[in-house]
Amino acid sequence: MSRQAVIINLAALLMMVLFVFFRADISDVFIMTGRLERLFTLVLVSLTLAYSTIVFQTISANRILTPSLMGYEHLFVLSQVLMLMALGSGSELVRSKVWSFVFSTAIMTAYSFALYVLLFRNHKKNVYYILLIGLVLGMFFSATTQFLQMAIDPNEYGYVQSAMFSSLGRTSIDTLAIALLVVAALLLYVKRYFRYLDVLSLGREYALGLGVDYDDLVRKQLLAISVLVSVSTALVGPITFVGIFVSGITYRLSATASHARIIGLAAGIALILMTGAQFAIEHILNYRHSLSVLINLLGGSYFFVLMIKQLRK
Amino acid sequence: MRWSLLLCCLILFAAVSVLLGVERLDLASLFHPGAGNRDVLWISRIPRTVTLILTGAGLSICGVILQQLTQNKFISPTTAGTLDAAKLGVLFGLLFFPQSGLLTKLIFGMFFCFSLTALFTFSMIPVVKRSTVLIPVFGVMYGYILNAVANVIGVQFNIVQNMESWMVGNFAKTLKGQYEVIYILLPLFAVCYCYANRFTIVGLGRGFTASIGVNYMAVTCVGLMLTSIMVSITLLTVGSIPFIDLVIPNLVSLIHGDNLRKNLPYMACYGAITLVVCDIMGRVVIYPYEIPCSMIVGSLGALLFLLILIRKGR
Amino acid sequence: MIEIQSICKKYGQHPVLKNISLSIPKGKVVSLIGPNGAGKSTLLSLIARLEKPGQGTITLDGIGLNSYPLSTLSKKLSFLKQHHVFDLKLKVSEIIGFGRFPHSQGRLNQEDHQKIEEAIAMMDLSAIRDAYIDEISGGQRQLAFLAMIIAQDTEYILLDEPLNNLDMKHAVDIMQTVRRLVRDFGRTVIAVIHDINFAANYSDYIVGLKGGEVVFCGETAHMVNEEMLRKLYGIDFRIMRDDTTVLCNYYKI
Repeated sequence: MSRQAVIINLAALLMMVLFVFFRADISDVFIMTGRLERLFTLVLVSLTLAYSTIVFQTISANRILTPSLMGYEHLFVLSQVLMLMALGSGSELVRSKVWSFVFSTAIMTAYSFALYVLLFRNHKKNVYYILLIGLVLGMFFSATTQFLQMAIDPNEYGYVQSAMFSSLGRTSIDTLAIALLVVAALLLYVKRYFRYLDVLSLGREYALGLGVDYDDLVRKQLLAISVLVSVSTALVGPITFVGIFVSGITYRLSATASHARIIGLAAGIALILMTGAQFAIEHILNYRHSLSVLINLLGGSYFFVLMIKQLRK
Repeated sequence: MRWSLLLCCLILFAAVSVLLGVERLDLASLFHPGAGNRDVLWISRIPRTVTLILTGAGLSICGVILQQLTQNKFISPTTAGTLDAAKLGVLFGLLFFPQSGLLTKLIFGMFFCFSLTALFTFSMIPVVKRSTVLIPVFGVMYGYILNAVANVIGVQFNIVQNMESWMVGNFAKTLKGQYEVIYILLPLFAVCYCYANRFTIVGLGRGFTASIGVNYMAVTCVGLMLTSIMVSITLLTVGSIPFIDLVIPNLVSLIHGDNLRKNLPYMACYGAITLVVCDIMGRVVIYPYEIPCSMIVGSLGALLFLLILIRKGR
Repeated sequence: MIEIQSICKKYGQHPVLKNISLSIPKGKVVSLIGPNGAGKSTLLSLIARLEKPGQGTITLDGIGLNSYPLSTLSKKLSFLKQHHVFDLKLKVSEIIGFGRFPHSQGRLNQEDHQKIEEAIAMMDLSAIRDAYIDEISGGQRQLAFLAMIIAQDTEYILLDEPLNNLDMKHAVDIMQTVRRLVRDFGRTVIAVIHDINFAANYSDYIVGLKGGEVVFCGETAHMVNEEMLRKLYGIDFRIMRDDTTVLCNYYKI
């Protein structure tokens, strides 16, 4: 393992230990379970974020776009509201966490394919043009979500909104269990494709020339990405700029092109970032701010600086 | 669209807006209002409709001015962080002078709006290229950062209970006694009209401006000042209304070209009509409840902007 | 042998290849030449099955191109593109290693390493084998990707403008390597070449395309003459031969 990987792994381990045991009364079961639950959620989210961002960037052949920047997460929330609207809050389908998850994921997969066919396949398109479209799509989805939420129930607007998202403090055990199953199954499934991902980064022509069914592989990966982003949004809500931040740092630090290693490194960095932020929220900031606000500010600033650098060129 | 036709549409929709509401009014009451009706008319309906018209016109004009100054069709107060800068300014006003009235908030809003937008605009000047998409992306990020900072400050110092709904554009609160500041927009429109030709010249580039003898810096600053004042006023009166300042100028330039002096009245009219119609929709969809106008404008506006982007991308 | 029959290809409304029929012989260096927009690169992409023709068929060694499963095709035919990625953290040796992917799916064995070493030796890349591809020059990168194709060890090798951005020495090295591959290893090389002189000197067989149609197709010795070249390029040539080489002079003062 390279030196950077060792350092990152140690740091991640340290953060996890700190998170669980800092000023903790080990005998207090309530607090300890709470912390372990939150830590577990963050681990899952780190994994999903790392995989979906890195692979998305390989597929779209650039290091600037991420699923969150293309509005995936906002689409997830919108699809939940749409389902609520279409079926009513009494419906069995709506109340079942599994089925509402499947519904939203299906919508997001369709969206992935549409984006791929319309925007990514033709590599002559300017990356920033695609990015602007992605950002505006995100704005469109979130504005429409607000509008529909108000239309559903203007009195209970806030209630609908908070019931829609779970935030870190409100994840339940069964949601976590489902998420774990989904992520584990998916990662096992895609594990054998890691080497093929490496070939993908050479581009479509070389991948086909080397015997990799590019289009089929991309479709499978987009499906995986859609599922993983759904999981992370269902667990902690939209974390729009964290992906680009994590991938930027990962590519800076890594000296290899192997996807298995890069994704592992990205997961470690994401975990450090998020446990660190959540730790700060719990012990320094006294739960004032929410996790997504804080890490989005950090990630957003990084992205902002990235744009400045691009402008200078 | 012909000018007279446009004006008729505006008057028609304005009339609908005045008559629509929880308290039913009919056409006759416009001309011979009874005692009760008169109150509703003068306290809420007419102020609301006037604000809608002036805000729609004002924001569209701000949008087209910023477009000319930055020579980029996708830059507007929505995508240059201007709305968010004004928000941040008002927040600071609340932070430092919590007891002071409207004027202080306005001044803080204007100041932040002007300086932050000027910062953005003047940084973009060396990078200017007509078709670059990177600048609006950068502007959106800029706005996002300002918004996030406002979020953090607002929550940290307990200024605002719910940052999500603070400053969401809502015309329901325009009541007599609270909305009069919007009338300041009228003289500002006149100033914009006077400067329209100069803005067009600046929109053709620095070199051209210099060779004609127009002071690039001065005109740009005047434009930014006008925009900041107008955006701050609308923000304080009704909250933030996104996308209308981006979509209307683009649509008008598609139909009528880019002569600012000629287009300014059209811009104002189209903007006013759009906002009135969106507000009417918001009042009708879940009658008797209301959906804030900015949600409708935001949703439709984003969609329209997407279509414009896709069309330009071909 | 590659048989191309009645191939038509359109991009949108614009026809790029109009009813192309050709026979490409085995074990030769074949050049596709012609002015810009003739459809040469498109034809090559169709042979490589990177795109589908609107009409017509291509057969490879008697079997329809579409019938080959991708894994088999990638062991029979390899393709070098015009533009390469250059911002990956990959070493030259790793890029060349990718060429063995159709054979071993990324798990390199004894034979793979041997082929990689042979490719490095043939392209004379030992000095930069551990350099990252974003650190070397464009010409060296081209050599590295060509080495990858060589390591892929296929019967048919398709090269899309392999001499672009190369200095004279590198260009000559590549063409000499190409001839070696055909002479000593029995490969078939089909290359889109812009420079008429490289095509004339190094190929056995030349196909001239113009405006999506075949202008001529046959052995180099018979096709490279002033009349044919004028028909293809629309300018006058003075052709000068000596014992081993030919020079097509089209400069006009």
